[in-house]
Amino acid sequence: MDQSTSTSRRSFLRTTGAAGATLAAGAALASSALPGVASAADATTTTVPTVATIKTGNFTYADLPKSPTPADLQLIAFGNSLALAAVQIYDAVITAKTVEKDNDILISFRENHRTQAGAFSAMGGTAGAAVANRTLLSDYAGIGNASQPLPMLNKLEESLLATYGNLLGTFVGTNPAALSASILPILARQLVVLGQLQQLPPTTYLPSFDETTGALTISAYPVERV
Amino acid sequence: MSDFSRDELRRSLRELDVLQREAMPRWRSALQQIFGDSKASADPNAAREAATVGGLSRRRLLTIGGLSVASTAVLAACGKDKSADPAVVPIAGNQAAVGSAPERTIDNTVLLRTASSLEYTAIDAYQAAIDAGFLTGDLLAAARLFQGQHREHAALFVQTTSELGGVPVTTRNDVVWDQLVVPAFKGGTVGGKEVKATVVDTPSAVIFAHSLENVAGSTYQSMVPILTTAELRQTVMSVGSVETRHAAVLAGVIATNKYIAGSAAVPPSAAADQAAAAAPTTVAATTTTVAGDEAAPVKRDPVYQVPGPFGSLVDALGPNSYEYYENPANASTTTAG
Repeated sequence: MDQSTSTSRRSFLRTTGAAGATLAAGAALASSALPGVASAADATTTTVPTVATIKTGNFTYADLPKSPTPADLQLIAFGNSLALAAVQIYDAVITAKTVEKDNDILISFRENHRTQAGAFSAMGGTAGAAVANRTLLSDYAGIGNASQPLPMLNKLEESLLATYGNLLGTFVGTNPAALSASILPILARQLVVLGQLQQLPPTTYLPSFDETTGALTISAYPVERV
Repeated sequence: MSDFSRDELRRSLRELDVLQREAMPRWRSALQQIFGDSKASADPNAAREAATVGGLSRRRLLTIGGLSVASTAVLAACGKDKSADPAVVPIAGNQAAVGSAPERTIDNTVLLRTASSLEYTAIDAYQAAIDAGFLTGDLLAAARLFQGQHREHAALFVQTTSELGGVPVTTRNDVVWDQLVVPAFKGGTVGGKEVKATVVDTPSAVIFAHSLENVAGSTYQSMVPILTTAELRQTVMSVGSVETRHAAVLAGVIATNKYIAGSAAVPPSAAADQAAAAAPTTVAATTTTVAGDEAAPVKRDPVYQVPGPFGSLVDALGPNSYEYYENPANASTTTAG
């Protein structure tokens, strides 16, 4: 399992918060005089350029790019491949019937992953299409035979939560960002249920923050196209 | 007919016909704007069915409802006679003067200020429930854990606001507190209507906490497309998903809960055991909203720990509840990201 080498969110904020504000101020200053310079400044950071605004009633918002960028599309395909793999991993446990007699909960979680994969696929179109992530499937190859698969499913959900959190911190388009953000609460809720099914101490499924530590990377979990 | 010749009648009818023909295209256009999308326009039967025999989704109902008011104006504009005297339009009294709402800019700092204010609201709301004696035993332990995590979240948002050059909010959100929390605990007037306190015992306090956590989680999720940097989106959701974990735990305590939509499974957790012990009072608390003989059962929707494949935005606060700068000069430079 690949461990993300990225710095924690808080240390990132500590080190780049002031710099980000300075860059933003600099970009705003430059944009007033030289729009071309502002574009160049924006290109050196992950900050989305927000020169334009939109107005709804009395409220003015930054007009941000909604559609996925080409780089976003790669990550959408990655997210799709992971969700599809999760479907197959849950399938193996459901078939084995080692957790529940009627599999209500696991079937529901599997279908959540399937629906999430569908959402990635719909957002990315052909560029976001992928097959189930082979590397992730191999990580959980023995789960169908495991007598205690819940800890493995727990680990899977934690990996996915960290990964989608990481993607949220990378997407430029607000549409894929919003999609990723809508999946995170569900994976977090599923982790609570899995923790309670295992009768784990509450602190194990109630962290103070959902960090991206342990996020899967596209280099370690390559995407295969349809 | 004696004092109204047939010629005059025909002339009048022709004029009416001309007027009607001129008005009809505009009338059709107005109807299309109100009821029709391109698909519905292509299929008049479907449009008719949807508009008349209950095929109205909630969204469509809202669309129609909102536009019905406007449709009066649209239809009035269909008339041909431009010389009509405005004085014939009936007016009931003078139009009340309505002050214009202030112009607001929603930037990163406003969103982070709102986030910290929400966290302080949650901290204070849990404290109110604890002080009232509604949360004891395992529930008290859970409340204290959640409260501690809300303090950590508030500290993160305060720090991030400062790092972006903004002035952080270190107190609760007055709008949410006054409109949501106080009426729940003490009753009062909301939107011109008197409401009774709904948080009156342990089960109702758990239900309220569950709602509050959902509000927080939904609000942070709703901020994602507005925040201008990917890092800030990540920061906000690192908290938002934890709020929904709190909601999932509390859903497990509420007696009417299920793990997931469609499941009959009951949680095996210690919290669920507590819920079972509290079940008799839960029934009374969740089905009774008014005291005395007027008590009427209220059917409560089931509460799910995992309600679906995507986080909902239904409970998200709108921009009227955000924490703005009263003095725009205090606004940070983060408006531009």
